[in-house]
Amino acid sequence: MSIEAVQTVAIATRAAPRRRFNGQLTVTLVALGWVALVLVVAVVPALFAAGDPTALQPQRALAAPGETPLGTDQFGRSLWLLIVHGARQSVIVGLAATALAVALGCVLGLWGGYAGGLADMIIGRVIDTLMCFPGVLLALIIAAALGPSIPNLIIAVGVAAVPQFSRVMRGQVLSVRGRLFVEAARSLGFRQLRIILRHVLPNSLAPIVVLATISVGVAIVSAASLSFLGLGPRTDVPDWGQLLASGQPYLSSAWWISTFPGIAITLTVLSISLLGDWLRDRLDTD
Amino acid sequence: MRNSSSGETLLRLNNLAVNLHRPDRTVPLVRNATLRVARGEVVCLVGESGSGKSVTARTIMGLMQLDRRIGVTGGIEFDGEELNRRGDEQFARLRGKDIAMVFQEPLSSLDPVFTIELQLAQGLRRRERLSRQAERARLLELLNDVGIRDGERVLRSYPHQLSGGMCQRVMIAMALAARPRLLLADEPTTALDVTIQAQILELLDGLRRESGMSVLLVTHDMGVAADLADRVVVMYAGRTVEDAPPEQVFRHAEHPYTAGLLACIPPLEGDRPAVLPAIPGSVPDPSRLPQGCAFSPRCQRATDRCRSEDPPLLEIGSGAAACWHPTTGEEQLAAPAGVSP
Repeated sequence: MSIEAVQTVAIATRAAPRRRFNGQLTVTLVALGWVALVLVVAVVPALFAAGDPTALQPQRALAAPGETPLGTDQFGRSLWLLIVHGARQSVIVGLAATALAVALGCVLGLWGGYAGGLADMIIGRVIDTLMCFPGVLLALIIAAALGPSIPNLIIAVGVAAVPQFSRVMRGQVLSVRGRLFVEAARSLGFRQLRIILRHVLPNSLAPIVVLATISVGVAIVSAASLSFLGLGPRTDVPDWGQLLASGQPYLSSAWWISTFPGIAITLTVLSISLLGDWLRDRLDTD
Repeated sequence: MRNSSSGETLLRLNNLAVNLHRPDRTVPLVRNATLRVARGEVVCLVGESGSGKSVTARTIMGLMQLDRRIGVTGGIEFDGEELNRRGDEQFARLRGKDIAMVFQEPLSSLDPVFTIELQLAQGLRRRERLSRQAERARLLELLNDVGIRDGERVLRSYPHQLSGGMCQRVMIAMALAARPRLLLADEPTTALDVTIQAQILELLDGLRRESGMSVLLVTHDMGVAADLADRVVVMYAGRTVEDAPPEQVFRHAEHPYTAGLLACIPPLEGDRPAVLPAIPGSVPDPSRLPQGCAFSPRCQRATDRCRSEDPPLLEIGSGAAACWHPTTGEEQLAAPAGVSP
C-alpha cells in the first residue's frame, strides 16, 4: 500500500515540474503527524479521552456512532475510549518487539558476518530455519508456547522478526569488514571488539534503521493478529487487535466495533511505513 | 643525502613465506622475501602487480595473519625481536605504535561516518592521554606537519569532503601520531594525480629526515624508487630477486628481470624506440609457478639449470641477486659469484 502511495506521489510530482506542491514531503509530514499523535495518545490517553474505558453500560450496548463518538461495543463500552486507551499497548508492543529484534538480529548478524566460519554457518542455519516459517505463524507458535502476557507477546513478535535483521546485518558486515578503513583501523593496532563496535557497526546501520522503522508497523500488525486470535495478553483494556476480534461476531449488525480499531491500525502502520520509505530515500547514499 | 647501508638494522625479513591454504591446494603468495631496513633508511620494494609486495608489507604489519587461511613462515625481525613467533597480542601492541602503515587508497582508508578529528584523536590516544585542549593543539600540529594549513576546517570535515591528496595527508598524520619507528607505505601515491604524488613523496622524505624513522615504500614506479630510495628491493613472483643501492640497480642491474623493468621506461633524451621493449609473457599465477626460477620462462638468459633449480639470493658487489646468470657473471663469463658469508 505504501508503495502505491509513493508511486502516485511520484507521478504527481512528474506531472507538475514547477514543484510548488511537494507531494512526497506532504505525505511524509502527514504520516509523521499521525505517528506523533499516536505516540502522544499512547503516553497520555486521558488527555484525549477522559473517562474509564472499562466502564460497562449494558443498557447502551451496540449503540451506533452518534451520542458516543465512535459508538459502543457489545458491553456498552465507548469505542473512542477503548481505542485511545488501547493505543498504549499496541505502541509498546510494536516498539519493544522491534527493539528486541534489532538487538538480537544485529548481534547475530555482526557475529556471523565478522567471525565467519563455523559460527556463521550455525547462525545462518538457525536463521534459515526460522525463515522457513511465515513471520506470523512463527510468532503464533512462540506465543502459544509461552502463554499470553505482554512480555511474551513482545518476545513472540520480536523473535519472529529477528531473521530479517540478522540477514541484512550480516550482508552489511560482509561488505563493510572488507573495506580499507577497517584494515587501516587494524593497522593502527585497535582490538577486534573496538573495530567491530566503532567502525563495522556504525557503517552497517543505515539499512537497519530503515528496516526497523518499517518493522514497527509490521510488529503492531503481528501483535494485533495474535491478540485477534486470542493469544494476546488478558488485560483490562483490550488492545487494538482484541477490539478488532471482539467486533467480528457483530460485523453485520454493528460494523463500527471492528472498523474503527481497524482504521487505527491501518493508518498507524501505513504512516510508519511511509516514514520508513522516506528514511530509506534519505539514507540511500551508496 | 643517502645513508650508507651499514646502519643499525631495524627490520629484517628472512626467507619470509606467506601461504594461502585453500581446501584443494596451497597457494604461495610470498615465497622467499628477504630484505633489511636500517634505521632512518628508505627502502623501496618494487615489482609488478601480483609480485607479493603488498602482501609482504601487510605481513610485516601482522594484517595477513588475521586470516585463518594464511600461514606465515620465516623470520620477521623487528628491532632485534622475532615477531613471527609472537601471538596476535604482541603484534597488536606494535601495530600503530612502533610500526604504522599508510595504504594505497586514501579515500577508503578513512571511516566515512566519523569526522577527521575523531579518527585522528583515536590514534593519538593510543600513545598519550592529553587534556581536550592539549589534544586539539596536538592534532593541529600533526596536520601542520603533513602540510595542512587549515587544520581547523579539516578536523571538522568528514572524509568525503576532502580531496584524495588531503585524505592521504590525514592518513600519514594518523600513522605518525604514534611516532612509529617504521612506516610502511603501500603505494601511497598510486591513487593520486602526479603533482600531488610528488608532494606526498616529498613530505614522506622530509618527515623521515626530521624524525629519523625508517620507511618501507612499496611502489611499482621505478622513478619513485630512484628519487627516494637508499636501497631498492625488487620482487618477482613472491620472492626477492634483487636487492641493491639505487645507483647499482639503475646503472648495472644484476637480475635480468630488473634489467627488463628498466628497459620498459622510455628514455627522456635521444631517440625513442618505435616500440618500447616489454618483458614477454606475464607474471605467473602463484598457484601455477614454473619449475626452477620463476622468471625462467620469460628470461632470455635462461638455461636448463634455471628451469630446474631456483637460484638462491647471492651477494654481488654492494647488492644481492637471485639469478644463475647475473649481469656481472655474464660479462666476465666467470664462475658464479661467491656465496655470501
